[in-house]
Amino acid sequence: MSVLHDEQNKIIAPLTRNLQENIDAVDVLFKDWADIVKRKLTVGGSNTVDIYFVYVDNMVDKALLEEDTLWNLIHWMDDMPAENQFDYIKDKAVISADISDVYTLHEAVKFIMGGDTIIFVDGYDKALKVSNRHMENRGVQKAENEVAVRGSKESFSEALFINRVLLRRRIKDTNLKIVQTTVGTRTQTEVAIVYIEGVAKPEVVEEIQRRIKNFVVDGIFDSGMLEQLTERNVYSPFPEFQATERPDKAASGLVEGRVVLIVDNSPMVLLLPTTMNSFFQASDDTYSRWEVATMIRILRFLGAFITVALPGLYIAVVNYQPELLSSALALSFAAAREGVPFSVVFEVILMEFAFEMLLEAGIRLPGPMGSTLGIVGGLVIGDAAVSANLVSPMVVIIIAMTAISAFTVPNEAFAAAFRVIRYLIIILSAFLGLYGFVLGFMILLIHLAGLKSFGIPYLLPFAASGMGGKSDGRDAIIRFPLNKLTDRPIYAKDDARIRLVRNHDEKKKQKQ
Amino acid sequence: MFSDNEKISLRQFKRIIVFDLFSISGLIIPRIAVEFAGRDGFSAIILGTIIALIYAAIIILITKKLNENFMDYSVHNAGRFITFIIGTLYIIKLFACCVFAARLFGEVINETLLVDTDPRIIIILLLLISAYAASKGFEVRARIVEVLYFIVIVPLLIFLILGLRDADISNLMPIFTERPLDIVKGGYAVFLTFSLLELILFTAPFIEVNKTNVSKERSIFSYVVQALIIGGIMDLLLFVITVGILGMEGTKEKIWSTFSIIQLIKLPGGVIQRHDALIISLWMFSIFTIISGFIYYISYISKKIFHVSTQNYLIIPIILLVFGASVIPMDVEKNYEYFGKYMMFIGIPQSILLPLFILLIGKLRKISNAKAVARSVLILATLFTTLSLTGCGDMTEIEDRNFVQAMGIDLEGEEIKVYYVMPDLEAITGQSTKDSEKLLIELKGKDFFEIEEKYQLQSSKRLDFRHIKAIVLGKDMAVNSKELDKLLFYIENKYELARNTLVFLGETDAKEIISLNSSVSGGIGQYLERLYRINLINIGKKEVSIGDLIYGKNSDNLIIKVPILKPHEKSVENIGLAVFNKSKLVHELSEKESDYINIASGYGKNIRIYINDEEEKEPEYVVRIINVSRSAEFFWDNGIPRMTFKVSGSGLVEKGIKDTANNYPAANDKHIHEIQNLCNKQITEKITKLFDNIMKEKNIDIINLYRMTSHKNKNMWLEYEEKTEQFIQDLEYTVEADIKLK
Repeated sequence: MSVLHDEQNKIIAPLTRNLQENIDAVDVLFKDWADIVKRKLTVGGSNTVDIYFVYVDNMVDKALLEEDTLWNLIHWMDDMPAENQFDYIKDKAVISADISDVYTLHEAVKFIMGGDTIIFVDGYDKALKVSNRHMENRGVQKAENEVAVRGSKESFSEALFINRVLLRRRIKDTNLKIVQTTVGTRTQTEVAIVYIEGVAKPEVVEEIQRRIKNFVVDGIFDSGMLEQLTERNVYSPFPEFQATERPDKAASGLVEGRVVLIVDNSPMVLLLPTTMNSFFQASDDTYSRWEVATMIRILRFLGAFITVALPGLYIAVVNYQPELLSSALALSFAAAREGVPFSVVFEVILMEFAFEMLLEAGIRLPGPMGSTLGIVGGLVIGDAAVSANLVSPMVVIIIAMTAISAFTVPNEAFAAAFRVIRYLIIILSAFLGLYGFVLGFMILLIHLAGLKSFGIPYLLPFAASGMGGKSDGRDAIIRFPLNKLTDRPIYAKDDARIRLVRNHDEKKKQKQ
Repeated sequence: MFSDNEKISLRQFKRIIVFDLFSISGLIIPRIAVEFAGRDGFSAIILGTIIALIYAAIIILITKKLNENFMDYSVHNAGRFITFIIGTLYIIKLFACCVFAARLFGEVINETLLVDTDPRIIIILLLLISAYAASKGFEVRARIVEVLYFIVIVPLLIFLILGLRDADISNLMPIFTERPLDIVKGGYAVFLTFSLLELILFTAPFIEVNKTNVSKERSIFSYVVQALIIGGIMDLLLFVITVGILGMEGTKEKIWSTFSIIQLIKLPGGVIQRHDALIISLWMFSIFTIISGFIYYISYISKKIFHVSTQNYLIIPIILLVFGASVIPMDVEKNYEYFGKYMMFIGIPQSILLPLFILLIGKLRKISNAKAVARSVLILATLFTTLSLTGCGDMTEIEDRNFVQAMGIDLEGEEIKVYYVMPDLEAITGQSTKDSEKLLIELKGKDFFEIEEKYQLQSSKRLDFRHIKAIVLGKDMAVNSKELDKLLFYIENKYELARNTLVFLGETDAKEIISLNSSVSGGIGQYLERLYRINLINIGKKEVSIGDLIYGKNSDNLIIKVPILKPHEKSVENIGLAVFNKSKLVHELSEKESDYINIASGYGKNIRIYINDEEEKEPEYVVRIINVSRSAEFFWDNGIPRMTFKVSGSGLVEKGIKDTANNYPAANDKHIHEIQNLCNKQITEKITKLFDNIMKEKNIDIINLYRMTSHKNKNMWLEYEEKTEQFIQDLEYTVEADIKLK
């Protein structure tokens, strides 16, 4: 840490009236910055003043800066007064609405690193910030991880300002508040807390603000890091926040009373609070007819159950309770396993690991190679392993079904938690059969029942839904028709739970 | 915002009560009701539920007066010392309940799901997971129960409703035959299982009531009423099904007789071979909730009386103590007996008196630590894992099991000879068929335990009866009441052998039938099962299982009829029925006779009646019975028991009538009417003759007429109670047949 910084990496050197002192400080701070652009100018006519320009190359719109600011400073400063020169420059030289005064060196440096231009003026212990950021980014791309058949195809981007726009475009309400803060003493990552005032619970907004202030870290690079630093249930595999790349999902969450966290440089935003149920909801559900959405939801819940339960259940039934199977199936299982050198448990774990490795390798490998790996892996596991009598065909079917089911859950982080829990159930089932399986499920249920996300029980609306006096169950396993979903979920403020009023209902009320 | 304020909703409260009332009582209530009130156990359950309602009302009234937590109220009004004593009494009671529940379920799981696993491992895990739930607090427990409600109670309820079809009404009727005092005692005994209602004293302050226009106590009471009605209905269903299927004696056999019936209930669909393991697994969920409840309340009261800051600190010593008490070597029956006595003479009186005592004193005067749990859980889990890894698990790979497909049992001199038919796994995988002799294992021994041991000494695979299809008894075995009794006792206590396994009698010995294994497709086990389930059942033959024989063994006056098989070329032929009374073959019916007995029993669908076939000539007419039912009216005639027995139904003339309907419909109708008269006359004569020959001459109640009086004529049943033979001799009867032909 240099002498100009404190222990939290905050610049302690002040802005002074002496321009040279400020220049010296900037020089020290930006020493060995190849991409810093600094220039000292003397502007004015009869009265002149020294100014000092600082910005980071390729982070500003150079054309705009030169046309709208530099040109004016060099050519239109003849009437420079003897006093109030700072205000004169601000009014006459800068043709931009987005300017502001900066009073500390720390702030000034932060803006420079954020892509703004800072103009130091001699004789003033403040600087002028001109916002003309222009940084390369991916722009708005198609959602890749949360693909929806119907609905918006846009996804969030790494640029926070784009993400803000994506939300603003969807919610044109003055109550949509965006409170920004920075996290990371070195990364100075901007984090935006977005919520609709009057709908979101103020205590939830306060709580997340408190949690963000509760730690000091050198840097965060993705919303995933912020999630882990602010969550309460550190030892749970289940996420306390819902991450999404879909702006429509985030906007829908905001309207429901949830809070959105946007982290600069992260294409995933965080929604809070969250419940287990919200992880089973996809954007399409709201856009599709309720019957179709309900059927798909049931499939997802079934898929989640299969993901967690099937391998454990297979082990328990085959090794301990074969009476559950029909005789033909039991004998067929027994016959298929004749000559397999491994125990059922080892066989299942082996195949699970093989699948997980394929999955991981498939993610890391570049696109074309990934598909080749899929074919090779599929052949090796599916065919060669069975032909070589290393595993029984039934285990291949079980693992394949488990793998497919895991992808029916629309949230990767949540599905991954189930993938982890699966091993606990496999181990317990291996030692204690169906009893072990029940033990495993009981542990899972107790854990989930004890989880809360910002005060909201994780198992809502399957448990504790009656406490709020409203039924959240209408948008759970069964998604009721949209016109029946008159209430906002439990996330909303108690006096803002109503979200749909049909006009004829109102007329009826007025008549009465 | 929700917070950790230990508040629960009324709905959660109701579900907690249902679980508290049903989890343990559901298992033992049929036995308790039968023990105290016999056939009037039904009334005892209703009475017990009513007493429980009154008790709940009193408890809720007391909570209204308290205005605060029961223990705090006690401290404020009775002082610390008395509160300490009262708290200790509650702790003892809850501790006893917890030990009983853990012990009982350890035993149940050990006998049903994990036969070879050390019960201590089962119990410690049960306690650990329950402790984990208890450590999460009351709110979390309420949420767990709320979620489990639909997973456990609803499927069980559906299962029980479906099970009603299999209950035999004769086992339940007549009602009101026991002394009123016995019914009252039964009601009190049933109420003992509902005693957990007193916990409302502790839970009431946790309940959050939204409605403001109704008082909190009234709301709580209405939800308790709902919970008691649900619990009561489930207990009644369990009683009806258990007693209806197992009979009085069968129900008394085991504490947890409820689980014995699960094997016997047939569910539509047939996706799952045996659903008992599945239902037991569902039930297990409720056990965790109740044991976690006990642990929670014990720690809660202990915290209050010992002034401990964190309730979770207490959970570890509590589970260790419960575990220690649960593994004391004591027969589960003895445990049940002591627990019953404690509850009857101390537990329940204390539940009534203590709250009143505290309230009276009050009136007179007026005038987390989660880390500790996690650490302990970790230590114990490590211990368990170590134990498991050192060989405590009883896992046997599926290919290492020899799934017996069929079993034949003969008696040879003093020894029992058993034939186990094994599946041909090589044929299943499409490889060459194994030598048929290798698939048949023949063992001799003095008893079945010795035979099993001999098997273990010579085979590399585990003997597994979970997929057995059929049991064939040899004639010598069937006539030897003592040996057959031993066999049935062995099967009764061998949980893995399903009670719904088909049973047959070989014409001479079982080996003859079992030896056909290589000749019939799919092996003899599958062949016999299919023979029954595809063909025989469609020609009016009733399916008879080993469970029926066990049921007959345990009942005083029940006749069971088992099909007799005879080898016929390379297959088997059903040649009649063997009549068993109390584990003994007492008579054999020819195939023709068995048809008429089946019609008289109401199972005659698709049976063919060959009219005028006395002299082995080609029958003139053949009638196929489409449906048949029987009814019997019993009445007294000048002190003599009389019966009008009527067989009615419809049939189809298959032979003996020309298709003249288009030209001469009237003539055709007349002809059918004549055949109908002949058919009814023949059925009447045959059944009367069979009644005369078998009932009167051999004194065998061939179609269990005495049992029918239980719901037809209560006085007659009472008059001849335990005098079945006399009833058969005294009974005069008229048989009528009314089969409508078309």
